[in-house]
Amino acid sequence: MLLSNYINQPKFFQVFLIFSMMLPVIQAENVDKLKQSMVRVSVTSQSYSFVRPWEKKRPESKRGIGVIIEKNLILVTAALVENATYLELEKLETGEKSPAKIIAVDYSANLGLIAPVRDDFLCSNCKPIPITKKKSKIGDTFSVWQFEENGTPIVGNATLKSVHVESYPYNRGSLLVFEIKVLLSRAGGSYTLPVLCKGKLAGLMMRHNQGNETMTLVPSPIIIHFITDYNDGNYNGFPRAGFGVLNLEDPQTRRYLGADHHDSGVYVEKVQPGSAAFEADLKVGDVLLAIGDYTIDKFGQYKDPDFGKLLLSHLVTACSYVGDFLNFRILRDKKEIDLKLKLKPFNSEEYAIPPFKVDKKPKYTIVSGLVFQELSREYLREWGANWFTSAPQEFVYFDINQWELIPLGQKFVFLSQVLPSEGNIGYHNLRFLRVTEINDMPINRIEEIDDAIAKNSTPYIKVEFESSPRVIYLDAKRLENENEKIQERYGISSLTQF
Amino acid sequence: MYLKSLNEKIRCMLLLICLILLLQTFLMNQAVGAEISPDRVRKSLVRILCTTQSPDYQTPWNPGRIGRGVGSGFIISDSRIMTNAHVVSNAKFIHVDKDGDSKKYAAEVLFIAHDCDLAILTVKNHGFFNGTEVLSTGGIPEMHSNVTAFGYPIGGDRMSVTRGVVSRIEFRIYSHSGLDSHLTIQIDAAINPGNSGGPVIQNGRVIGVAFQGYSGAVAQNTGYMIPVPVMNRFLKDIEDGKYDGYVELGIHYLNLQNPSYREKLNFKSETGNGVVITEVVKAASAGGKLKIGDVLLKIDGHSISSDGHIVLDGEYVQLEEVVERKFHGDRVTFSLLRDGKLISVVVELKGAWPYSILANKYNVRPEFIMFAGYLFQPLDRNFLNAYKSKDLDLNYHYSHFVKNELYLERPQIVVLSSIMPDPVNSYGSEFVNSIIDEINGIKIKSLRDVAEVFGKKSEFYVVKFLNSGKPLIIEERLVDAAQTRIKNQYNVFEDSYINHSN
Repeated sequence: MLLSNYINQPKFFQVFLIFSMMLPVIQAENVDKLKQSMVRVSVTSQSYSFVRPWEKKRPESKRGIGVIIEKNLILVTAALVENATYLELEKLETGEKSPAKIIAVDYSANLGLIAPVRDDFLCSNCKPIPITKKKSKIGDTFSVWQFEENGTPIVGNATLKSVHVESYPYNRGSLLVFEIKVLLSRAGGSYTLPVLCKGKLAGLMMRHNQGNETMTLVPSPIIIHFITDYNDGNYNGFPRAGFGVLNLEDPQTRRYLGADHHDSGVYVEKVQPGSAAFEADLKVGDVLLAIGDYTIDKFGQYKDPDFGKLLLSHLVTACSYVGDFLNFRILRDKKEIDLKLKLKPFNSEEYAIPPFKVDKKPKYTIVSGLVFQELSREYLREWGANWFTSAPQEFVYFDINQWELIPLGQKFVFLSQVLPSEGNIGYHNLRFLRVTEINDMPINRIEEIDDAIAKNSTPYIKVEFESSPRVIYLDAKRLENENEKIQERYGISSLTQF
Repeated sequence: MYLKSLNEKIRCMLLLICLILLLQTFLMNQAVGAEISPDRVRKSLVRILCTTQSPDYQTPWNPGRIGRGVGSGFIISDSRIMTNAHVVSNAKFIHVDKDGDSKKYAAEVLFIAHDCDLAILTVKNHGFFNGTEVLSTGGIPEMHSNVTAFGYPIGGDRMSVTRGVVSRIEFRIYSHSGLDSHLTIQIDAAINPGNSGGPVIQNGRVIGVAFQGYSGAVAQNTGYMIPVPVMNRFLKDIEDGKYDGYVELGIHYLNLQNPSYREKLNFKSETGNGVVITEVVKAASAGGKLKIGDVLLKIDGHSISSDGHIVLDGEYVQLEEVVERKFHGDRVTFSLLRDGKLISVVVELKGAWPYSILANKYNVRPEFIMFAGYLFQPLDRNFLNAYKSKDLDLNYHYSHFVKNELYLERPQIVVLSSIMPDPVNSYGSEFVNSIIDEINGIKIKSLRDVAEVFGKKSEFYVVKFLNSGKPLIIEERLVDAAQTRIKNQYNVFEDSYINHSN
């Protein structure tokens, strides 16, 4: 990159050379200023237990460096503040501390805004750092900012290696990332680190692989989208079209679909029921040729004016806002058709089995010692890193194929365990059973369990499962008595949490 | 008998090492005792040398790896030799010899029962049986009583004798099939690869056939033998000239121990009897006869306790034991409550074919179709063992094949298992490990269906997969040339093998 610049644009090279020689000088001048625009964020977080949903797990501490981007508004990653119970800011210069509060958080974009509880905590010379609007190019020089305990900055120089679309920790879809090359030994527990480019914010650290010296950033375009959306007073988040594509390289398949006359187009493989794509009538088997003015290639990429080839999801997520319309040109039955998508927000709760659940109490209800829950990815993750193969396989199968297996608007309600007591003798070993009906009322959401029990007028509570044992009965007359006993015996604060 | 505790079995399977040849190492002088003279047993004991050929499910057209094994056997009535099925599974050539007779005799398998790991051999040359002795069989030994095992284990060439006591008597998985559980007797001697198929003797009578153990790393002094009731059942089954195998009732039940459930059923006593049926396997004996919700009170006149046990010949055993002792075509009578009425239901017993995909298979050629370099194979235990796939779809369909009655929709689950790379299939790798849903609109219920569709001319073959929106497209005009090319290149000398007797 540098070499070609040198050959073709000697002038540019000169500019670059001067800049790079000046860099230490500029830094020395600006370090103190920039330091005042950053603040250490210490977070105590406590996640919910999905195995014992009435409990919270052990508190954990996380730290990171937040960036002041507007008056009294500090940008951090969502990963830093997830399930936070206490937030504290610390000035890097003086070590002065103040509690903080969360203003906004978008887990799917892994970004959050926090503010000091005291309005006067951040002084007037804490100038916000602007977010770079520059089109970052491969080879651009970035700096990663860390601070020692005493506030001494440790700045790691980095180079932009790649701009692409990749999965985010809390998102089943993908968003734009910057990948940088950086030699940096990361101070323990730092979840958010600012990455600057010429004094402006280029991104926040999301992942860091010290072994191959690679850091993945939530990049400036995603941050700008987040802030713009926040500033309009009504945060909708990143839109989601709700479809999946697969490569369409195979000439035999292209001939079969009649797509052999195009050298573009990608195969629509999945459409999420209820999504924007679904409502616009996009169908499995369609060949997506173009979105707006952009041609979609065989790999599902388009040519972005800023970053070159990118996966089409960037067009939907970061280049558009909720409520925007996108024109899709598709090939169906060998005919070209235009579809209009009205973009909807991503909402984890719209999933039958939500892909993530943070800051929210897991729902459960305990009936005579039978613990009922709604299935979520978070529950499956309780099986550890290998949850995909070690969690109950039927549940994993339902999670992966939920669009096909669970009707829109329904949840997967199941019996997770039985807390043994006198009233549930004979049922102690029951677990991982999907509930279908209680007292002949269908159960598609956990809230319906309490309704079904409240409306019961028979002496029994009849619980039906999808598989063996199919039906069990509980004593309705002694239910309250049993519930009280179980609550006391197992020390459960509440028998129900919706 | 494998309905109740599949989970438990899978756990056991991980631990249990099927020792092709096993032995208890004990001192010679200890073993002799007053019970039986080793010379008498020597006249019955046979060494079995078996050459096997085991197919490779990843290259199913090949005849397979050739291996050799040594096991033990003993002579029973009518010039027959009893041994374990696993000693002579996948056998291509068997010969036998005896201590003190230098001659080797060719032997052949008369009957083989993979579900209870027993086999009967015979030797054409009747000279073999001259001077041999038939051992009679005893019963179930007492706990802690002494038993003596005979066989030809490693560590030497001649007959070996070892001794231990009876440690435990219970139902266990037979690891040869990996699925079936039958009565098993555990003895406490350390086990070495050595003498599968050899007799275990008490008071001069055979009381079991040594057959499996744990590897030393997992547990010590645990060896298992097949007890007399299982041997006798096998011998009775083959009296008509063929082995039919065990019958399957095909029910799951819930123990009726919950007071509210009992009250709901109007069962006044808290400790009374009965279990409630929660699942009926349609393809098994109970299918269409017993119903979910039936409360079983008696089986063949024996009262069923609320934990599913009965008293049989003075022993407290699981109700399945009644079925365990019966044969194809036998009947079992249930007294049960259905919709509050006491009725009697007679169930005629048979096997249940859907379970067969869950058991290890032997002596069969793997089925396959190779089309344009795509290999199509039916999903079963041998397949999964060969590919060691962790694919979610495959494992779900395998483990829920009977449980969720997937077999009703697809008697055979066909998988695109691998690809032999060629220009015709350059873009096909994304489909490996997928289950075939339909081809050209025809729902695929067995490998035969696949063969039928590919046998018909069509401009495009459109192969759709379960849980995937993207089909595999194969253009017919490219197939013939590719097929010849691939068969030459990869030394595949058959397009397919389909067992039409399935």
